[in-house]
Amino acid sequence: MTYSAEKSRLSKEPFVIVEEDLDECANEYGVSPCTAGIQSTGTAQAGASTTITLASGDSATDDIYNTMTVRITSGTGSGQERKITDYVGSTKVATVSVAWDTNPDNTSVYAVIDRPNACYKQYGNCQDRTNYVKTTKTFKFCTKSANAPLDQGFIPCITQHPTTTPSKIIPGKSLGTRTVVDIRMQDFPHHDRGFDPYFEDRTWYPNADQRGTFFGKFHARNKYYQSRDCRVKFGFISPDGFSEDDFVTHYYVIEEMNGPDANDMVTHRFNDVLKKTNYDRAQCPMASQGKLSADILAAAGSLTLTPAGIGNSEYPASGYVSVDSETMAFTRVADVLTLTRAQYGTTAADHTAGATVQLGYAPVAKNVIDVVYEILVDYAGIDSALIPYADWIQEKTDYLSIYNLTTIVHEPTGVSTLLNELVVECGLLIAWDEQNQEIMLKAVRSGTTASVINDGKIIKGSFSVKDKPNERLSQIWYHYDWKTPFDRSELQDFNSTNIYADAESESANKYGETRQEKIYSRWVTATGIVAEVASRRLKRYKDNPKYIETQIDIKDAVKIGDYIGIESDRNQDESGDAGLEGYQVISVKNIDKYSKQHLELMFQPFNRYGLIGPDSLPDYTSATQVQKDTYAWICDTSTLLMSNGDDPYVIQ
Amino acid sequence: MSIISTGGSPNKTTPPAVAYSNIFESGTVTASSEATGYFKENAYDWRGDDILLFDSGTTHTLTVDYGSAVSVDVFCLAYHNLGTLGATVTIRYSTDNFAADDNVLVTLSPSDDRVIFKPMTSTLKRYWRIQIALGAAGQPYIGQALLGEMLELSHGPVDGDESVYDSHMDEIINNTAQNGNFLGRSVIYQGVEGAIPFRFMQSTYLRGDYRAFITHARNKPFFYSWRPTLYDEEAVICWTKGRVPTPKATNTLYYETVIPIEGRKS
Repeated sequence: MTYSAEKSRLSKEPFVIVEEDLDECANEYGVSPCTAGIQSTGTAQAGASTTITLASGDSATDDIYNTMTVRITSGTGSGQERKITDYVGSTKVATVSVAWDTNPDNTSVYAVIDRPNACYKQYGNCQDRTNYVKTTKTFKFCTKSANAPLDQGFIPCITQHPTTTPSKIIPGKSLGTRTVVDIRMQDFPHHDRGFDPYFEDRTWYPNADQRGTFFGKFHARNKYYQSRDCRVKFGFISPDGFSEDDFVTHYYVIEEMNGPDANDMVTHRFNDVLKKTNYDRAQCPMASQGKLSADILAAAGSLTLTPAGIGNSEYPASGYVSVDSETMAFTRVADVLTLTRAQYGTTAADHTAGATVQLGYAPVAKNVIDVVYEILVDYAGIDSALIPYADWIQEKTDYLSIYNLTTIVHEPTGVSTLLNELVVECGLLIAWDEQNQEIMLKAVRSGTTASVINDGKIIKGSFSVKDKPNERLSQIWYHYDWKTPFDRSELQDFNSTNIYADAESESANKYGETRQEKIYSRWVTATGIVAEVASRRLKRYKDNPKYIETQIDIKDAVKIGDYIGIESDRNQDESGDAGLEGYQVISVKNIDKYSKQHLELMFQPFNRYGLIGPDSLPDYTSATQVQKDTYAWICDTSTLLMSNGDDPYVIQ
Repeated sequence: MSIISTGGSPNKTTPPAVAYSNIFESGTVTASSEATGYFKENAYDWRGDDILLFDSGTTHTLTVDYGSAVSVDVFCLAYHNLGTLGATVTIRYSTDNFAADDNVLVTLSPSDDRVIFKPMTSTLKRYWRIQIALGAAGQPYIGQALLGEMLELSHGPVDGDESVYDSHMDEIINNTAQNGNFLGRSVIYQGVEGAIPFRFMQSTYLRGDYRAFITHARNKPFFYSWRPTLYDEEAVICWTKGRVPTPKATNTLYYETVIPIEGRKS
């Protein structure tokens, strides 16, 4: 079966799996290249089935190596390890717990390793950090359920369904809020088998379950967990048997590990990947370390960076830099920058030695999707594999082809600040798609309705409608094409200001008041972009935005960003009928042990755009949805509808 | 421990039984194989969250050397996949660690993966083995195995006693649509719950068998079967739920108590 099939069963058993990818050293304690814990090395004098005679110069102290491990590192029997149960200092004879497979002899080179005091293979407890080699170990936790599969390596300690603060998109206004997931798990005594790589060597073996608890030890060992990858898999235990195909995976990064608390509970908190844009280190451009090695005058055609070597390590072959309030273009050889002064409306000036030479981020006629891509990948450290670039290209082709940006970000600025600006100034929706593990980027526009939710699917008692008059807009003042990159806070800092107003909504017959929004753009210089963004923005917000909250069964699940139709007796038209309206899903939360989704929806009040199409276009009913969204057809003159009953194209 | 046989009605001739003392916990255990990360100790630590998973093959064994001859009359198994694999399980004993002396005490073919509680003829030997034979190579796993002596309850069930095996400790969430349609249901299966009655305990039973059992049950899970001689796959692995109630005298001869438990059938 598949996840889609399992969630449609009439009776189903929800199940949650959490996977955390944490660090682990690839080396073995005391085995080359790891040098930790080695008490003694040498060439054996002799060996027998359960003994090895160490080198004549080895310790003369009886029992000094008891409980430690002797490993044959080369020669006869190489690769074997045994625990020492007895050592006689005078004869150098070490007795081992289990007979050798191949008896050592006087060619066997050995090392005695203090395994009882070995590390736990994490960097925090590593005893030879020079040779630490980071790999990943995945820990798996699951719901405490009678039917939890036993042969998948799960630890059944999740006591309640994950608590999710879902992400919320605010199309065209901001990045919205990030998803936060809290996983609550029960702590318990644990024998450490499978978790302490040297559990059989510890002096307290086999009583590790009397020393601390699983999560007490887990948190102490795994100190460096922040930003490590994790996954929450939601699905169902099928009567046909357990299968990973019955689960949908949501991808996150680890933010916090807390507990155990007074009730022996721990909480692991995860964030969506876009949380990385909020980190203090996510700056664009990065702070430059290079400075002027000497004074330069306003007419100087070059400068030299200090400290020596900084040019090659931090500055590209060409680009833009800012010193004080002047921006300059440059080409570079080693630490010497050849300059074209006074760029981007700034004025050439004298600059003193020691002034910071700050590299700028300066896209030139670059499409907005590529600007967002660069900021996420190069400055926020987002893995490019999380960006469905082909989908972004299609969005550019369909809706963002004219959005080519030329600007400079002259000083380190938070990535989340820049992305929020782009969302507003270019009318974008940027969100993390948990299920497909990708970053969604769309223009604020109409979309194809994915499904219709009616009273046959809406969970009883869950539907509510709300107007938000405070979000309505009637005018947009768009200030663009700034004069210099250093000032963008007032009208006089810009070369152009366009005002777009919906006079009808300001009239006495409608709202009778002005609601104004001002945009001071860093990114936009072209009037075409301004007109389109303002037009789309007014269309969405010129009437009081309407929001719906409702719940649906998990079998009808939708995802954030989807366009859906709502038809309910609780959302009536003027005649009292359950009118069909279009909405966009702005938030999704799985609740009640993943048996339901709680949705927040925003009304999508778009008329359709219509271009004049080529002769080769099919009839309306045979056209694809992309064609219908792009071109216009003539409606029936008597019904004023399309031949299949769809709304007509309206010329405004 | 002693087995009480009181005669009389069918309830009293085949009373329910528990099994808790396990020779695997006291002997030297070897497994024919252990898949990476799955240890033989997992097969007798009473935990439901870890297992002994064998490497792929057709014959698998878990052997215990008790050090001296020990009586065994019951085999119990929980958290396994032997029914799914179509395994044939034999309980074997030996005097020389199966070098030349290898005897089968009982053979069973689990029909599914439910808990097994199999009484056997009481046998006194030093070496014991669970052998799993598959028709084709596979990876069986065992979460909890027990070889030991069972304790029959002092009396069978009386009016009002619940059938633990037939209980369902489920959490159910129904979804109903605005127009009254049934949309679906989520069921979280959480095993069984109930109570195990110790009734008509004479002082010898109370002071011997009952106290020994409670010493174990206060700390660890145990196996329980309502009809061990007839239905060896209708058993549960269970644990006490909260404090163990104090036995009370019912007259000058007998004591009784009822111990709340929760557990699993598979």
